[in-house]
Amino acid sequence: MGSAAAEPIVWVAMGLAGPAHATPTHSSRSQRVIDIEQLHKRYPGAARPALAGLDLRVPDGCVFGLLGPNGAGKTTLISILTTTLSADRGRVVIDGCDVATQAAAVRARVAYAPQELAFYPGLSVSENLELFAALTPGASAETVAAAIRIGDLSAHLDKRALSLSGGLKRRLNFCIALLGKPRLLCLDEPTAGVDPQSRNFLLDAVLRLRATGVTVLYSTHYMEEVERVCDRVAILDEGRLLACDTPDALRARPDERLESVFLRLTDTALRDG
Amino acid sequence: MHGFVALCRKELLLLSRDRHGLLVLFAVPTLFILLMSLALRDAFRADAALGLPLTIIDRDGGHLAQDFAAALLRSGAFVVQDRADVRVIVHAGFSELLATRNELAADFRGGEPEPALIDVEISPGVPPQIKAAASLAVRQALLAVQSEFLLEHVLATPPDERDNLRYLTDPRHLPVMERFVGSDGTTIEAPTSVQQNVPAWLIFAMFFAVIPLATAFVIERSEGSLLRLRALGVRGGVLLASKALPYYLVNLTQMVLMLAIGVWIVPLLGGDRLTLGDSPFGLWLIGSATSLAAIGLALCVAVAVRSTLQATVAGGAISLLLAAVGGVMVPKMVMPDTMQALTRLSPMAWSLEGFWDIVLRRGGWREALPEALALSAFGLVCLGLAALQLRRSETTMHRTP
Repeated sequence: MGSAAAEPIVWVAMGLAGPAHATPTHSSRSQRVIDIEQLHKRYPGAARPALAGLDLRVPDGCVFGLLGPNGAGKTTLISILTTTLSADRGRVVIDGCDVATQAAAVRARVAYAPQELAFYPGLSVSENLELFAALTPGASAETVAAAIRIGDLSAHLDKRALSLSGGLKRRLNFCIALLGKPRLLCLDEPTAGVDPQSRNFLLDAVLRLRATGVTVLYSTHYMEEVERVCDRVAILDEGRLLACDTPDALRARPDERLESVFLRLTDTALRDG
Repeated sequence: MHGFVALCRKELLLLSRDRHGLLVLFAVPTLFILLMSLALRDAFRADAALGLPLTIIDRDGGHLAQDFAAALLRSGAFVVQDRADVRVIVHAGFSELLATRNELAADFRGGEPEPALIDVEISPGVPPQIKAAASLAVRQALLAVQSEFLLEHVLATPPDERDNLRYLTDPRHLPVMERFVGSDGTTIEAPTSVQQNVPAWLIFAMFFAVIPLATAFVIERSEGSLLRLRALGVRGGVLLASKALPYYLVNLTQMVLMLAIGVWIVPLLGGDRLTLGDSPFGLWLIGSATSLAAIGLALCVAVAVRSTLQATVAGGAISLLLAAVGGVMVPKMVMPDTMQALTRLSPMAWSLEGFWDIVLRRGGWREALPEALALSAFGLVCLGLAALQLRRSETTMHRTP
């Protein structure tokens, strides 16, 4: 994987245009790619809402960390952003498209890598890529080739996904999300259960995607990953936004660890239910 | 030793909490015992009144014909129905039976065949033991009527001239013709075990698709592929259709393969050759309808279960129970009335009747149409339920602890 890791990859490097409004840095951006107002969601039979009036704005072209203990509402939020779940109330606009009324346009702009390994273990790597490319709006032979390069998967194309190592499976899961040249990439715990090398590879890939103008919504429990790749961080708990700022601004002292910030805001009590 | 006991305790605890494992171990065999015992109740009872559905057509109208019908019913072997798989037709001329037979008996050694005065028309779906019972009952009834009539002839005939009477009272020489008839009333060859069994087990195999289909769906859901497909905008209807079409092709391949085995492989091994009837379109029709029903049921199970274990257990148990109830494992005709009525609940029974309409009764597609429509309706209802359940699950599938 060394060659790909060192390569300035993705669409610009492949001679392809990056996502619309791609900008190389996030400092000059004033546009918001995600605009969430008063978002409510309660599952049938649940004692409390999964999202309780969430307001959130995600600037264009950044890596935006989404933190929260189990049950905070992270996956629910991502599900609504990716149109796989509808909200009870509130408004979500992605790149100018309302999620509730313009779902197809939203899907053309948003890609999603679930925390599960969301591909077919019985198919080979190339067969999985072909399948999802056929279903992904905007996918083409070029984007498939780019995804293969991003994930450094070319040596493994003929292998059954079932036989891949944990790290390779994560890379395949990640790369499938890139097949459509997304404007917004939602990653739900993308490095769960992988070795340090694969984690390093995936985090590098996220940073290189940001460099091409892709906004990345990064949900994780690993604070060191947030500190390494996220420009801004939102901390959720019980469906509400507790804090949203840059990692540095969230710290009370310059030497405070982000995990301490997280525990200070969300409490240290165990979340068993 | 302590470790071994702990391991054994662990195994029992796990099993006691595994509802599906317990279902396989206890509930399924219990149901099978009940179903099979009831289905085969009369087959093992020597004193059982068979109560076979019978139609009597009296084309004679004389008192002997009526006596014969009464004797037939007194035997307890039959119950009269308007439409039945066994039809006994008493032809005109029955009242002259004894005179005719008396004349013929005089020169019975000449070998001239008697005209058949009683036709027994048997549907090819009737199992051999039922046919034998029906045949015996008809001959006994005829002998009873004939014996009464012959009594005065017996008394008038010198003992050394009674050979002709022995001929007349020999059940083998009774003027009864038994034949299998197709759906259009024409005589057809006696059905074979292959013709009975191949459709039955073909249907069973088609319905067994519930296991791979439901298992694959559960894996797809639990491993996140389904979530990804939905994030890509793949609609539930498209998803279900994309599963139904390949499995429909698989079911048709199963049908072609198993019919081919009956036609070519079984004879090579010394068995009878399967005859397919005269309606390839009818076979396709009933095969397609069966496939639709099987796939609909499979998708219904697939969206309802939560794990591969559940998919395997529920799929297998449902298939086996439908087969047991539906006459695949035990022919419907040997079941008591209540169990025969129960077969109407199983789509496998509808399919079996449809296939038999074509391969056994030599009917055309119109004969199989009612069963095909029932199976299609069942399949569509199941698909609708699966689509509803899939849609309902979309509101809850992302719930995290």
